[in-house]
Amino acid sequence: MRDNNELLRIEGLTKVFSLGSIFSRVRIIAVNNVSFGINSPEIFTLAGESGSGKTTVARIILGFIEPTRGSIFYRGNNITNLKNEEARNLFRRDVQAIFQNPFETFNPLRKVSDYLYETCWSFKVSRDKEESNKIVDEALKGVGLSLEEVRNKYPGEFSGGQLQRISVARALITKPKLLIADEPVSMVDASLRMSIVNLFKELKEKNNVSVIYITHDLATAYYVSERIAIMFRGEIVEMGPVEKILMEPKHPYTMLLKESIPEPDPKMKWQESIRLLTSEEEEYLMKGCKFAGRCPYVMDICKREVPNNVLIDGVIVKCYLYASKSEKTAV
Amino acid sequence: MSILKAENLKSFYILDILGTKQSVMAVNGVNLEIKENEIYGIAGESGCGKTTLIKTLYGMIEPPLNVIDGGVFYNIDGKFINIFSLSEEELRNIRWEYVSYIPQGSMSVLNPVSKISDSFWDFIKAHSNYKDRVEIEDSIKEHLNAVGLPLEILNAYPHQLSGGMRQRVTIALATILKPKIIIADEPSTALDVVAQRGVIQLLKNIQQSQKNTIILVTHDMGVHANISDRIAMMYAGKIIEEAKTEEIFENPLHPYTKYLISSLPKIGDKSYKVSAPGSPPSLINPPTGCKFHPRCDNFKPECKLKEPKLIEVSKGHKVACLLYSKEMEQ
Amino acid sequence: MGLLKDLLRDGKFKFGFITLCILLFLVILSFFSPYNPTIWNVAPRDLPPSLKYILGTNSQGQDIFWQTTFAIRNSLVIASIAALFSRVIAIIVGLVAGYRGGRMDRVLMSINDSFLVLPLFPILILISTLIKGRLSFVSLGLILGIFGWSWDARVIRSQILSLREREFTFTAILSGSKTFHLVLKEYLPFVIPIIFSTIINNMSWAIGMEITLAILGLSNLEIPTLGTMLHWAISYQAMLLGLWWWLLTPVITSVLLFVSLYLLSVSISEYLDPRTRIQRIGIAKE
Repeated sequence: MRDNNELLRIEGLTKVFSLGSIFSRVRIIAVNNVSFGINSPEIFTLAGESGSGKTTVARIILGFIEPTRGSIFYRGNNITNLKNEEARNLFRRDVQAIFQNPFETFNPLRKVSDYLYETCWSFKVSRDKEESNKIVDEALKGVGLSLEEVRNKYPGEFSGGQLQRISVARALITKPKLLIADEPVSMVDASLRMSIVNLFKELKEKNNVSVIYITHDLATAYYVSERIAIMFRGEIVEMGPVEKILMEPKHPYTMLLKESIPEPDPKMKWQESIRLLTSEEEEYLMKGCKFAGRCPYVMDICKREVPNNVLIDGVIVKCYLYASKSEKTAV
Repeated sequence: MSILKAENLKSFYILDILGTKQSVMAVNGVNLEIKENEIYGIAGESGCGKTTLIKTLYGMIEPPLNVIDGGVFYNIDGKFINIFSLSEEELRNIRWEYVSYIPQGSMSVLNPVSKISDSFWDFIKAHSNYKDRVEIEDSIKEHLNAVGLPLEILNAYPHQLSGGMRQRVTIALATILKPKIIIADEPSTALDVVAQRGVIQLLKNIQQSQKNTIILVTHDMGVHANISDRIAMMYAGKIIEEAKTEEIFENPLHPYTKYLISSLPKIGDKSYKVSAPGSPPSLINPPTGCKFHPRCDNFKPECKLKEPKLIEVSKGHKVACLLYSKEMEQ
Repeated sequence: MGLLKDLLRDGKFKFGFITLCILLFLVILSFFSPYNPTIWNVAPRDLPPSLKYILGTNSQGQDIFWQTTFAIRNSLVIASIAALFSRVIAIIVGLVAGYRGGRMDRVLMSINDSFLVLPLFPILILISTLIKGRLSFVSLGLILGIFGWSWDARVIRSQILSLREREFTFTAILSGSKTFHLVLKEYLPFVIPIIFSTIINNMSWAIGMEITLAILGLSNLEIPTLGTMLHWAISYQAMLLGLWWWLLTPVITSVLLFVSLYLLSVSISEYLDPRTRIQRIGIAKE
C-alpha cells in the first residue's frame, strides 16, 4: 500500500525495552509491529492511553530512540539508521516537534527567545542578526504573539498556553513539512485549547504542513484530524478515517474508549459501570490479543494468538470479530 | 438544608521575595452555600483559585496562605460553626468523620512499603475510636464491597495496582468513616480516560449510597456534566456563575462561561470552535473592576470600574456580570 | 553589583564575606611585612602580645602577627590550587561521562571509583615522607587536587544524567544544538551551583589536610602556613610554657577561615540553586 505521494512511511516498527538485572529480565514490548503512512498534507492522529506506545513511536521517528526492528521512510528514502550528520540535519529541518509539558519544553534557566534564535542559526534560515529578528518576530506573530512580548523573558514568566504557542513558533521556523505534536494541549487550559488546535488546522490548509497529532483526547482528535490510528499496549488496533472510527468504532477497545469520554453534555451521562483493571503488568505480558482480559466479546482464539489486520469498510482492524467478514487481508 | 457556608471569604498567599511583599489574591470574596445530599462542582482553569478555595474550606491554612476576611461555616448538629474559631485540636476532631479531603495527585499518598490493608488499618485507628481488630477488618471489607472494589487488593502493595485502582483505593480510604462532606480535588485528572470513568463513577456511587455531599473540583467540564448537580464557575478568585448543571450547559450567562461551553469539542461535531481570547489574569495584579473585562466581547466602560456582584438572575442561577445586574435594576 | 547586593541580604553570606575580607586584607598585608618569615630571631623571643608585637612573638624569635599573614596567604594558595585543579578534572570527567554514556562512561567511572577508594591519608603520608622537605606548596596543592575530584565528578555526572532526560534537551536538539554547545548552554547553569559549593568545600578540605600533614611534621616546615605554625607551636610545647598566643593564633585563624568558607559556600549555593533562581526570575521583574 505504498503511496508515492507519501511524506512519511513507518513499517513494522518495533521497540523492545529490556529491564531488570542479570537474574531477572523483563521484556516490555513498547511498540509492536506498527505500520502507517502520512500523506502531504494531512493531520493524522495517533491516539491511545498512557502506556500505549504512542510517545515511543514519536521519539523513534524523531531519532531520539533507536528501533529494535522496522523501517522509517521519509519521501521514499530509508532514514531508519541515519548516521550521516548532514542527512540528519536535513531531516531535522523538515520534521519538527512540540511536546506535552510547556513548562518543561524550555530550560527554565535560559531565555525562551534563545531557542528561537538558535533554530534560525543552526538551520541557516537567516544570514544575520537583523534577518533573525525578522524571522523570529514573524514566527511569533503567526501564533498570536510578538518578539517584543517574548524577548528577554524566561519560561517562568509565561502561562502554559503562551509557552505552548512559542513552542509551535519555534518548530515552524525551519518551515518543516511534518510536525509531530505529542499531547500538545493536554496541559493547556480547556478554554485555550482550541486556539492551538486551530493552529494545526491552519498549518495544514494554508502551509501544506502535515501533522502527527498524538493524544488521548478523542474529542479534539475528531475535530482536527482526517485519519486516526488507535494504539493499545504497543499495537495499532484500528486505523482509518476519523469519521468512521469515532462514530462507528469496530474494535472493542475503541468502543470502550469512546464510551468512557465524559461528554460535556448533561443529557449524555454514562449509563453502565465498567470493569477496571487491577494491575497493568498483566496486560503487557499476555499472549494473544492484549485486550482479551477486558473484552466483552472475547473468544478462545483471542487468548492464544495475536489477531491479524483486517480491512473492512475502509478501516483496518486487528480483531477476530471481523476475521471472516473481511474484504481482503491487509499487509 | 445547608451543610457548608462560605461568607465573603478572602484568602491570600502573602509572599516575601527579595524584600518585597506581594499578595496572590487566590480567593477574593467568595460566597457559597452547599446543601446536603448533592454533588457541588467547582470548575475553572489553572490559576483561578479553586484549589486554594477548597483548602480554605477544609481549613488547611498554612503560611504563606492567610485568611484575610470572611468565614467558613460547617453545620454541626444543627449549628453553624465558623471553623476558624476552633482550635487546631477541635478542628482535627471534626476532620475525617465530618469532612474528608482527597488532594490532587493523591494516589501517591499510599505508603509504598505497606500493604493496602495496613494503610486502612492505620487510618482507621488514627481517626476513630474503633478498637476491635475484627470489627475494623469487617468494616473495611464491607466498605470495599459497597464501593465495588475487589477484596484482593487488600493484600497488594500500591505499586502493584494500576493508577486508576490506586486512586479508587484512596477514595475508599477517605470515605470509610462515612464523612458528611467529601472534598475531592481533581480526582481523575492524571488518569487515563477509562480509569477516569471508573473513579468518577465510584464517587457517584458513594454519594448515592451514603447520601452525603461531595465538593468536586475539576477543570474538566465533561466530568461535571456527568456527575455534578450544581456547578460554580471560578475566575480570578471569584465565583462568576453558579447554577444547576443543565442550566450551565444549556443556558450559560456569563461571557466566560459562554466561551468555555462553546469551545468544548464533541465527537460528531466538526463545526469551527474558538477559544477565549487572551489568557487568565495574574492574581497578584488582577484587572480592575470585572476581572474578565480585558477579554470580554461585551465590554462596556463601567466594567473597568465596577466589580459585579453575584446576583440571582433566575431560580437557582446566579451570575456576576454587569450585563445582568443592569437588567435587574431596570 | 546587583549580585553582591542580593547576596548580602543573606545574613550567613554577610558574616562569611566580611570575615573572609578581613582575612584577605591580612593576606595583602603580608606583602608589606617588615620581616622575612623564614628567618628566625628577628625579634625577642616569647613575648606576649603588646603594642609593638601585636600578637606577641614565638620561641623562634618571630613576630606572630606577620607570620600569620604569610600563613593565611600560603594556606589559601595551596587550597586554591587544589580546589581549582580538582574542579577542572571533575567537570570534564563528569560532563563527558554523563552525556556520552556507554563505554566512555564506564571507563571514566572505573577510574573515578578507583580514586575514590584509595586510602588517601596513608598515601599522602607516604608521598610526604618520600619527598619531605622538598615539597613546595604548589606541588602539595596539585597532589591534593589529584585526589579531590572523584566525588564531585560523580555528582556532576548524575546531575547530567537526569538533565539528559528532561524535555528541554529534546527541544535543544531540535533547535539544532550540537553536543558541545548543548552541554555548555543547557546543563552548565545547573552544574554551576554544585561546582561553587564544592570549590569552597574542597578548599576547606585542602586546608585541613595541609594542617594535618604539617602537624605531623610531614610537609616543608620552613614555609609558614597555618599548619606549620601549629606544628612549631606544639613541638615547642607552647601550651605548657604558657605561650598561649602562639598556639591560639593559628587555631582561631583556622577556625575563622573554615567558618567563613562554610558560610560562603552554603549561601552561594543556595543562591545559585536553580530552584530558587527560577523563583526569583519572575518576581524580580514585577
